[in-house]
Amino acid sequence: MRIFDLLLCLFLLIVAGYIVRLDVQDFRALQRTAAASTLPTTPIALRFISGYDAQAHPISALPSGFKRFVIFVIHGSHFKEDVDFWNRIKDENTASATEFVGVCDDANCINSLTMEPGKLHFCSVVFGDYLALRGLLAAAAQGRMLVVTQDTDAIRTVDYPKSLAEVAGLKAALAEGQ
Amino acid sequence: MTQGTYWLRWASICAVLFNAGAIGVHYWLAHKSMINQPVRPGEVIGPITGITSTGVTVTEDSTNAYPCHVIRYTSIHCPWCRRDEPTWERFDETLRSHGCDSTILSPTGGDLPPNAKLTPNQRPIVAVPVFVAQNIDLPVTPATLVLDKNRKIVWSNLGILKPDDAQRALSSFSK
Repeated sequence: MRIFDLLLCLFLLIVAGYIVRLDVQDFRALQRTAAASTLPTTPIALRFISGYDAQAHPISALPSGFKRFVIFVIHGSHFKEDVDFWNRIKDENTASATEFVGVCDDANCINSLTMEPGKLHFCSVVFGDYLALRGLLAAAAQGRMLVVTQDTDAIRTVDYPKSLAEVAGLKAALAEGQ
Repeated sequence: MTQGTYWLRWASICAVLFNAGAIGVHYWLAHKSMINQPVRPGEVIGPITGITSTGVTVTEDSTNAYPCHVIRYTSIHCPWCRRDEPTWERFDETLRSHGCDSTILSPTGGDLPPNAKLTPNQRPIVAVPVFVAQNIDLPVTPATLVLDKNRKIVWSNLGILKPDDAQRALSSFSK
């Protein structure tokens, strides 16, 4: 019985030693990856884009002459509702220094947009910088959208208005950041 | 209790604790590794469409012709990417000589390396649609992925490449 206990104990120690060896290897691999890579985390503004301005002309950068851009997602699943909603907001804010920029979220939206870009009274984006779009998606997942100051590229998030009644809140949030 | 039994009992207790600790650390590292590597072999990701630096639109059809695909996430602002450039070029050439196409993507369009050339089987992409940004989560630069014809990730690497990674990536097709 004693020899059995001894062998069992020895076996457990060998297994533990093997797992520790694996742990050390995994830890070294993790350290190597962390040390030999760069984590681009700073939120960035959209610079390289392909889309349309409010007059339906193709653009490759956001238009100049505005103080800030409100950037939000246009959902292809309810494209018409989103476009009508943001057209109304844009029409009520034509005199402001803010431009609204809708970014298509799926192929349906892109198709609708490229067929009739004139439907939108605001800027639209079909393609954009990878990291900037990831930032927009992260904000959208929390029910928010991005506000980018054109001169400084400063980025902040504001709540996505769910109805026209909430637009007053958006205006107040934009005014706060002035 | 004899002296031998006493030591055996303590050795057994230590062995069990040692095992429990080692297994705990192993699971913690595995979890941490999973978090650090959101692009894991076995996952299927959609095609990387978008526009190139010359304004050419890359569609799903333009990538469908190739039996395998290489995706490189890199930036001129990342020191490790610059250091990794010669190894990456050899990796890319090896994989493309085996029929793959390669797509080079950067955090922003302006971060693409200047030597990234536009050829039918190599595409530096400056801008992507939202659904591409949503489909593929590349947390660090440099990152290199190899996908099979069905766009299943067969090999991935976060950080700099090792000289024999091209062979490893190629051998992963046969697994």
